[in-house]
Amino acid sequence: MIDQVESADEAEHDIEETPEPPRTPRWRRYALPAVAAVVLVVGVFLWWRAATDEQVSLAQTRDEVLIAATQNIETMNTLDYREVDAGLDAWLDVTTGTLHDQLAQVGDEERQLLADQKKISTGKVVDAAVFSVDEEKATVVASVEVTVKDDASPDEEPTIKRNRFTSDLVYVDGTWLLESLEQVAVNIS
Amino acid sequence: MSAVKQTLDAVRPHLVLILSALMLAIGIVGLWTAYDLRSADAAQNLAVVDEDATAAVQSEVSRALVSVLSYDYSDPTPTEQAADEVLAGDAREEYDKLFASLQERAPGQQLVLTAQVQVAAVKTLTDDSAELLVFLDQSSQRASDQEASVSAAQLAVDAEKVGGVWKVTGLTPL
Repeated sequence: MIDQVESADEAEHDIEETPEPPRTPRWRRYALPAVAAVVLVVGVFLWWRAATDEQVSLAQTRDEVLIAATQNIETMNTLDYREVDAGLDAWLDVTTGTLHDQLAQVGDEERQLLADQKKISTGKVVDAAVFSVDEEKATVVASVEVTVKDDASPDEEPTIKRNRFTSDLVYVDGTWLLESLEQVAVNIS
Repeated sequence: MSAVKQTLDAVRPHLVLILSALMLAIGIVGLWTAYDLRSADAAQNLAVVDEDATAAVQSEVSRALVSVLSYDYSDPTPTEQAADEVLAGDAREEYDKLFASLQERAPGQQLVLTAQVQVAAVKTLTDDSAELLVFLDQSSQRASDQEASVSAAQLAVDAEKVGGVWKVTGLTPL
């Protein structure tokens, strides 16, 4: 019963809306859906390929590593004798592994020593590059300009040093942390 | 009759059109997203991610720098030849000035320069251009007064691939 009513209703509806069905050629009726389906398949396929491309995702990781390493290396070359504790906390925040452990062991005596030296060091990465990278580890080299102001002799101009660093980074809980930070010493006879 | 049914009936004649539009829209979003991912700055830069190309530019640029920054007063020809082969553009012009002043004082001082690359890391890399950060040591020995010194250099290097060979086009001490 219900079916009959519905089909009758439908028929009536059809008559009202389309008194004469358009006589488009068969190929024209299928052309649009066919083209749309092709665009859909190709588009989704290329999307999936790009989204899962390891080279693309590794390139993003590389650039993230470079940004994190630049900030962290600057932090490690920065210390204000008036805020030694805050400075050391910042060092702890950007390191992991043995480097982190070593910094955690800096005791009261050494902190006092750093405070007494009255030096304000400010590190700036002049140039840096990622040497190697995978999803968990990376090695970065950096050219760092360290400006040291000596408040024990306030009239003196700050000294500026250029240091060459190499640093290993590890991905820990969503951030890249320094596992090592070493100067690249001159090694030529 | 329910409102849903009414709507369906109204839509049915246009169903093919609507589905087609939907497929087109999703497909175009896919194409655009794929293009966007691949044309991002990070993806365009092949440094490190293309291991073979990175290793090639590292070793060629290192060799180039060592050859032009090593110098022996008793036989400066290899250095001069190397400059012709591996330098181009601005780097070539600047080097020529440096080399001229070196040629003036080197014989009197009996100067010998030896260069060695510690690290060469690639910052950016495309098919035909690259930027590198190079840590280089250079020792200089003066036989005239037995003086020797060693310097630690940090260089920002630009390179371009010309005829299949990487040439140094920019050399900036940091």
